[in-house]
Amino acid sequence: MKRSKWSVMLALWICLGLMAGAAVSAFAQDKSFPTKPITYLTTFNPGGQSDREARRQQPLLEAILGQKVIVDYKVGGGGALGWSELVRSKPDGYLICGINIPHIIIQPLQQETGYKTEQIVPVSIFQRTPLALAVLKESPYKDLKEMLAAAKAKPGEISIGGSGTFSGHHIATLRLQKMTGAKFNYVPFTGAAPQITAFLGGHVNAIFGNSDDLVKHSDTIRVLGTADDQRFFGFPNAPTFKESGIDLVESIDRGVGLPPNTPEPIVKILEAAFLKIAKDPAIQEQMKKEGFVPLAMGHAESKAHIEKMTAIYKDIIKDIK
Amino acid sequence: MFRTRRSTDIATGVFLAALGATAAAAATGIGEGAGGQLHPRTFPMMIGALLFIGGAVLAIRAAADKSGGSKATAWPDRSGWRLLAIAMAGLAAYVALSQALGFIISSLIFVPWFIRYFGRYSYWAACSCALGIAAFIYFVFIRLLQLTLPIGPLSFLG
Amino acid sequence: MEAWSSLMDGFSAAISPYNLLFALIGCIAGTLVGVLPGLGPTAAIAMLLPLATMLDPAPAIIMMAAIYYGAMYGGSTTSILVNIPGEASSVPTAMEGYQLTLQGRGGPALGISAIASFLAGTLGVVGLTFFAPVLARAALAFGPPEYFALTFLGISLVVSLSGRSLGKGLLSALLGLLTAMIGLDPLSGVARLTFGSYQLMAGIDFVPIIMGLFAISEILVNAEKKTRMILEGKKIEWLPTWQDIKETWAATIRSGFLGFFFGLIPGCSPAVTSFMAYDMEKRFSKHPEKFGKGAMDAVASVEGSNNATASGGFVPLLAFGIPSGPALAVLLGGFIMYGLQPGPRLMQEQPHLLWTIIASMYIGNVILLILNLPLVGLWARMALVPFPILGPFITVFTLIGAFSLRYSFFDLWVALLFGVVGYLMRKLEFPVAPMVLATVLASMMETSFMQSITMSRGSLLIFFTRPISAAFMLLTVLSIVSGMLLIRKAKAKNVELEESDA
Repeated sequence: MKRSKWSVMLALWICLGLMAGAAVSAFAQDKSFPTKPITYLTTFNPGGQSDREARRQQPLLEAILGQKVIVDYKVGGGGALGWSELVRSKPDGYLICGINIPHIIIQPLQQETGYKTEQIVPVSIFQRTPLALAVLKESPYKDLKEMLAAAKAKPGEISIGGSGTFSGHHIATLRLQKMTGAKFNYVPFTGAAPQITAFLGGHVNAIFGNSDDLVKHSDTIRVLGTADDQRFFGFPNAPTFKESGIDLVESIDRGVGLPPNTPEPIVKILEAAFLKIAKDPAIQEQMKKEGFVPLAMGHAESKAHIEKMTAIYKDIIKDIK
Repeated sequence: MFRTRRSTDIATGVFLAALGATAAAAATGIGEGAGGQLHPRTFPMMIGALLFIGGAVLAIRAAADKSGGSKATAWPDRSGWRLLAIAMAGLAAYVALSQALGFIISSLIFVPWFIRYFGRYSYWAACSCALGIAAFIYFVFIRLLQLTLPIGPLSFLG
Repeated sequence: MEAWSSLMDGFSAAISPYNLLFALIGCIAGTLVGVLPGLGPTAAIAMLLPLATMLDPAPAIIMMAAIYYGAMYGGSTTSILVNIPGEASSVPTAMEGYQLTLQGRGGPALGISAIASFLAGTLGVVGLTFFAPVLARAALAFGPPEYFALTFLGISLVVSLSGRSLGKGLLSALLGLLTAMIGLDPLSGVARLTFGSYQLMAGIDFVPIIMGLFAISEILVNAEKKTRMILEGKKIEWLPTWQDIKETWAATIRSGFLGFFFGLIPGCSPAVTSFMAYDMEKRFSKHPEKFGKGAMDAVASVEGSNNATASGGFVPLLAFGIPSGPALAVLLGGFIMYGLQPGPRLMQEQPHLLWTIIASMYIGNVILLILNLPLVGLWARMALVPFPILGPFITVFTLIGAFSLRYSFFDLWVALLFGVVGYLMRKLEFPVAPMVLATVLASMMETSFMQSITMSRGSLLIFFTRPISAAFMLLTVLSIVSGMLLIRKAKAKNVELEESDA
C-alpha cells in the first residue's frame, strides 16, 4: 500500500512542475522577439576562445535584447556536433550558435558531417584571426625568400607545424606550396598550445600560427609573412604574403549563425544587437589587445564572405583529395 | 554457466576477441586523411587486432587450464540480481527524466525513491534529502557556479 | 641571492589584507570546485575572467591561481570518501583511499592527503621560486617523440602494476585505447568507428568513463548487496596520527620532486604524473602488498605529486607563456586581459607583480592547509551516512559533474554504460587502472606517434635516436621485464597467496 501512496505523490510533483512551467510560458506569449531567454551555443570547450567570446558578449546582448542569454555547449567533432544540432533546431531565433570559418566550410567538404555550410544562416562575423608564417629568432631564414629557396633546394625537409589537417593552417601550407612550387613537411598538432610548444622547442622549423598565439611570443619569433590583405598591427614590420607577390590570404573568422529558414525580422534584430557590440570601441580595443582583428560584418556581408570562401576552398580540397 | 573463473575467462576472452575483430573490420572503412605518413585507420586497426589476439589467448589459456581457474566468480544471488537490475533501471530513469524535466525535478523524484527503496527510511527523511539536494543544485550549481543545467519546466527560476 | 630578496619583496605585497582576502576567496572557491566531482578549476577561472575589468591585476591573478592549486586539494575528498575520482589524476587516490575509508581510516587518509598536498605543493613553489629559469628549458625539450615515449611508458607501468593478472591488465588497457579511438581522428578530423552516428563523432570523453567505472559501479555493487553501511569495521579514526605522518613523509617528498618535474612538461597529462608517483611508491614501499588494499603512503604520494605538478606548471607558463593544461590556458587568458604577456619580457618589466603572485602561492598553500585540516573530521563523518542515503547523493553529484564537462546527456549514458562495464570488470577480476590511463592517454599517444613519424618521414628510429625518448623507451622495456619477472617469482613462491590477490 505504501508504494501506491508514493506514486500518487510522484504524479503530484510532476503535475505541479508542469503546470508552473505552462503558466509561465503562457504568460510570456504576446510580445515581439525576444520574449524568452536565448541560448547561445558554443561548439568548443568551456574556457576556449569561442566560449570567452560568447561570455564577453553575453551581458551586452542581455542589455540590448532585454532577455537573459544562456551560454550553452555542444562540444565535439571539431565543432561539427554543435553545428549539426544548429541546423536541426527550430528557426525561431532562440538558439544562436558560434560559427568558425573555415571550419564550417571545410568539414562538410571533407566528409558527411550532419550539416551543410549553406544551411547555417550567418548573423554576423565579428572577429578575424589572420594566419602568419613564423620562425624562431635563431632560425637561419631571415625572410620568406630565403625560406622558400631553402625549401626548393631540399624538398620536404623543412617542417611546418600547424593545428590539425584539413584545417586553416594545413590549407595555408598547401596553398603556399602550390603557389611557390616549394615542398614542406607539414606536421599537424592537436591545437594551438602543443603547436606553439613544439615550435618554441625547435621540434618543427616553422609554423603557420594564429595571430593571437603569435603575438604572445613576439619576442622570440620572426614573422616571415602574414596571410592577410594588410599588415597585422601586432607585427607592423612583417610583410604580407601579397607584398612578396604571393596571393595567400588565410584567416580564422568567428561569428554567430542561426538555423535555416529563420524569419528575416528575427535575423535583423539579432544582427543589429551583434553589430552594436562589434562596433563598440571598448570591445574592439580589448580584442586588439588579445591579438585579434575586430570585424563588424552583418548578415548579408557574412553570407557573401562565406560563399566566396566556399568557392575557394572547394578548389583546394579537390586538389588534396 | 559462468560460475567459475575458467568459464567466465573463456566467455570474456571470446567476447573481447569478437570486439577486437569487429573494431578492426570497422576500421578498414575509415576514410583517407590528408598528407601525413600514416593512415588514420592505423591505430584503430592495430588495437582491434591486438584485442582480438589478446582475447583469443585469454580464452584459449583458460580453456586449456582445467585445474587452475576453478575459483567461483562472485556473482550475486537471485535477490541480488533483482536489486542490481532495479538500481540500474533507476539510474537510467534518472538520466532520462533529467533530459526531459531537468535535473531539479528529476532529483526530487529519484532521490526519495532510492532512499525509500533501498533504505526504508521515513518519508520525512527521504523528502528532506530530496529538497536539500534540489536546493544545492539550484543555489550552488546553477546560481553560484553558473552551470547551464537544464531545469525543464522550472526555467522561470532563471 | 637575487631570488630571495625579490621573493621577500613579493611577500610584503602579497601579505597586504587586500591581496590576502583574494587569496582566501580563491582558496575557498578552488576547494569547492575541487570537491565537486567533474567540476574543475577551468570553468571556475573562466567565470571570473570578467572580474578583470574591476580588479587590479595582482589580486585577480592571485585569486585565479589560488583556484587552480586549491582545486588540487579538494580533488582527493570524493575519491577517498565515496570512490568518485573527479578527474583522471585522482584515480590512484580512489584506488587506495576508498579502501582506507572502508576500514574506517578515511579521516586519516584525508588528513594525510591535505598534509602531503601542502608539503609537496610548497616544495613545488620552492622549485618555481629558485629554479624556474634553469628548468624552463626542460619544458621545451619535449617534442612529439618524447611525448609518445612517455605515454608508452605510463601505460606499460600501469599494466605491469596489475601484477599477477598482467594479461588482463593488458586487455583492459587495449579496451581503453579502443574506446578512445571512437570519434574524430584528433589530427585529420576523419570519423572513426562512429558507425554513422553523429553523437559518436563527438567521441567518448574519459571523465564519464572514470565516473562510471568507479562511482556508478560502486553504487551497483552496494545495491546488489543491499548494503546499509559502507564501513567494514566498527572502528573509525578521524584524524591522522604522528605515526601516519612519519610513515608517509618520505613518499610525499619523493612525489613532490617527481610531480614538479613532470609539471614542467607542458601537455603532460597530470594523470601520467599521479600514476607514475603511485608506481614509484609501490616500488619504494616497505609493504607493497598493501597497495590496492589501502596504502597510506600511496595516498600521500599521489596527492603530493598532483600538487607539485600544479606548481610546476607555472614554470612554462611564466617563462614562455605556455599553458600546460586547459585551466592554465584560461589563467593565461587572465594575464592577457590585463595586457600582460607572460614570458621573459614580463619577468623584466613586471618583476614585482610576478613575485607577488609567487609569494602568494606560499601563503595560499598555508591557507589551504588551515582550511582543509579542520574539514577533515567533518568530511570523514560522511562514512557514517548509510548507503541508501549516500547512494543517491553520489549519483546526483557524479552525473551532474559528468554533464558539466560538455553539457551533453550522451555523456551521462556513457557513464551508466561504463558503470556496468566497471561492475563486470570487478566481478571478472580485470584491473580498472590500465583502462583509465589508456583512455586518458590514447589521443596523446596516437597523435605524438603520428607526428614523430611525419617528422622523421617514416622512420621509427626517431624514438631511439633522441636521448630523452630513448631513455623512456628503455624504462618501458625494464618495466615490462620486471613485471614479467614478478609473475614468475610469485608463481614459484606461492600459488595460494596469488589467488587471494585481486
